[in-house]
Amino acid sequence: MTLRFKQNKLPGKRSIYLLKHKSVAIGSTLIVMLAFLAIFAPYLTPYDPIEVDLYNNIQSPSWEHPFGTDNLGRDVLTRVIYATRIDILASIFIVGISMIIGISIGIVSGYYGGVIDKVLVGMMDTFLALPEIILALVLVGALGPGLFNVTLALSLLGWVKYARVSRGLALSIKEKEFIEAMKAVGVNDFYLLTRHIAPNTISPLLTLAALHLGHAILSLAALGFLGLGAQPPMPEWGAMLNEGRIFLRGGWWLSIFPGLMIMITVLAFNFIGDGLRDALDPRMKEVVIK
Amino acid sequence: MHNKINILVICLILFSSIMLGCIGEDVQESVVTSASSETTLEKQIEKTLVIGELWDIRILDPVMSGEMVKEKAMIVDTLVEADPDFKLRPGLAESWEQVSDLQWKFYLKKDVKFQDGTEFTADGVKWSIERAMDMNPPVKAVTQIKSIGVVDKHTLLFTTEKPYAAFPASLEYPSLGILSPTSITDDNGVVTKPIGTGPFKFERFDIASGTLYLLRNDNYWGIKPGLEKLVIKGIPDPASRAMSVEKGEIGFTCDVPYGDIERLKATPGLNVEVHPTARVYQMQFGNLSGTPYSDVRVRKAISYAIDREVISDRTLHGCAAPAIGPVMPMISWSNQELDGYPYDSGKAMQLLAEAGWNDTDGNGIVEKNGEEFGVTLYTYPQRPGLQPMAEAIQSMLKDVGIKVEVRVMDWSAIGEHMTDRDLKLSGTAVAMVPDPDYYLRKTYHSNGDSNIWGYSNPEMDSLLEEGLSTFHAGKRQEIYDRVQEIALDEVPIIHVAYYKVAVVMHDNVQGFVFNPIAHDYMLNPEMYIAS
Repeated sequence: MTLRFKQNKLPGKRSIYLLKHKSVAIGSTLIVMLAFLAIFAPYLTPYDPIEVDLYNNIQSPSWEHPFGTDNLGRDVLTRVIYATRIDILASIFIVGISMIIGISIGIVSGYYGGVIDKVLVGMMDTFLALPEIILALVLVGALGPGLFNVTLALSLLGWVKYARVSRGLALSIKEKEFIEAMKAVGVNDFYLLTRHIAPNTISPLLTLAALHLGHAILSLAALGFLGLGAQPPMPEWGAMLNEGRIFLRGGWWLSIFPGLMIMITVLAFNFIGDGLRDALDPRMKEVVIK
Repeated sequence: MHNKINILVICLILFSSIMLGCIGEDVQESVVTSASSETTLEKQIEKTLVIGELWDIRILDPVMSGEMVKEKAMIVDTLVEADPDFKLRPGLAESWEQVSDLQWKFYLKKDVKFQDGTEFTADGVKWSIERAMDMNPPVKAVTQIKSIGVVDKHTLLFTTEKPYAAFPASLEYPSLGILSPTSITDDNGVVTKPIGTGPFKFERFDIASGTLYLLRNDNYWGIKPGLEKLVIKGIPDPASRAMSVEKGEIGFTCDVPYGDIERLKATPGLNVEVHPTARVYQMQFGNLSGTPYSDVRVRKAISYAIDREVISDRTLHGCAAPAIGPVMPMISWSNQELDGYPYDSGKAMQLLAEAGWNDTDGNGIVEKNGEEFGVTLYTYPQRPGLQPMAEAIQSMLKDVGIKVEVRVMDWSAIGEHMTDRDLKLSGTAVAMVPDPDYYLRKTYHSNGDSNIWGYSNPEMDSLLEEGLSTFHAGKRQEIYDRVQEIALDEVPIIHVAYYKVAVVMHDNVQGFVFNPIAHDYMLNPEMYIAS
């Protein structure tokens, strides 16, 4: 016997409201533009992001190279565009993995309660007490530098926020009648957790996820700046900032453009996150209106 | 909503700071001129030179930081010194002679006093050198001293373990700066207030800011030092050094960011000099046996594939010179006949093909027995030239069909990751001791300390051993000429470029003579500040 319950979805009106929300509109426009850059990168620029031209290094912006060239003569615009691909994909990966881990731990903790809950909450508190970037540094130090290792480290560290929120949600959902009903007809725990409790935690977590995307990009760039992330010649915003650092005054274009891209992307995700919160959280909306 | 306002405020602040940064340059320029005109007012400050040092200053014991105490602070002197062409000249020792294969007699200068007024005698020298050998094992390896005998108040008799032609040169090693036994030490026996015989004496050391203050030694045995006070301040960040020298906070520094050199050259009031020094950028192979590198044609191909000119001129902005052999031409014992490996990618591909490496599947990477030629090139971030150089080499090797992945990690971590097939790019000092034996034996002898790649050639070994016990200068030069020739021909290690150091100083800093024997830079007592 299988039971299917219609899941909660955003009502149609609400999605229109979302797009009318100014910051969401700005944020999503920016994201669509960035996604366009990332997807069509090879068609947008005639250069190869890792092809060096040693004789034309440190050229200031011109028609040929609108963002100038770096110390190895690579086109900065091309590298910035290709870096969009790497940074955004990596941050989506980080957020995805963090959400999966966070939701799993959170709902198990909330649903079962008791000793399991105590142990898991203790773990969450421990993780929250330690700064994420320091833990990431330690993990990457152990794994060795590289984009994959950095992404892995940040994925393994980002789950706590999701776990805390989804635990709270699971605590309230498990008291609902439809869960009681399913328990009464003998649906097993795994089915309940994966098909009913987990999906119900996702939409409140979207706000968190949008903000986390921006945060993940900042962490990626920070680790890249320290030389732990993407290894040369891979274009990555943080690593590009670092490469530009010693040319900061003689070749400002090396660091300004990747820096601007980081700022725009993080802002876009934060705008969306804020908008989502306003739209999805009725209490928050009241506070704002007041 | 609050969040959005915050973000807006942050954006505004960021934007305005960028704008301020742009305007800032002009403002700073005017500050420089006013600051320097102010300083000329005071006579006291006029004769003070502030040095922007590359490393944090921590230890003032010459045994552990000889470069600092001897070459930069000039507190101590060594028995033997060297000229800019690396020929030896007398230091605290007036002269020396070889008594037998194992024994050397050193005659000390007679009218020398330590900075605290105590007399400079053979006993003090013996104490100082024995202390250095006890505290720092490499000193013993470099000097090979077995025993030190005091013949009279101003004569010493050194006995070496083995016949060692490089012995007089080894006494130039900066850790062997002669300290007075009256120098003040801490509980562990580490000197905290060094007293030597040099042109400048210790005044005080501010450990919090890592600043060392020195005063002129009026009883110096050489010329009268041109500066009254010398202040050495550790500024490890190259960009901060460049800014400090521009602002006038320091009057002398070196190794500024490559990107700043052209701009500093054009800045009025600053004098930029770029000098070759005894340090080489080298690329080593993981292992010479059981890897593609066991074939000398592959090693030659890699050497031909590297365009050393463009790396030196463009990638490192002139702060390097294309390398020929293991020894830079300015050094007196270099073999001037060598041609090196001029850039020739066609020849490189031909040599690879002869060695059996061909691109059979047309993907641009050469294969042999179905295996692609893919390697990882390791380097470390501390020397700013290394990463761009590694990336340039990566693209040059790709042109001849070798796929290279670059990995930058801490020096100490490279060993854990690097395999026999990999490459490592590093910067290495060639003349810690001004003698050919120092670098050539450790690099090319089958038991050499650096030779972890397993290079072994009986002819090379016997030449290097012969060089140790050959005391005739001309014959010795022939031996090392041959060593350099074989080294270049068999390419057990690739020399990419010779290091150049960019010195930036104010126009009024005069009398500075660059001595490439230094590990970073070396100050000289002739320096003074012109008014």
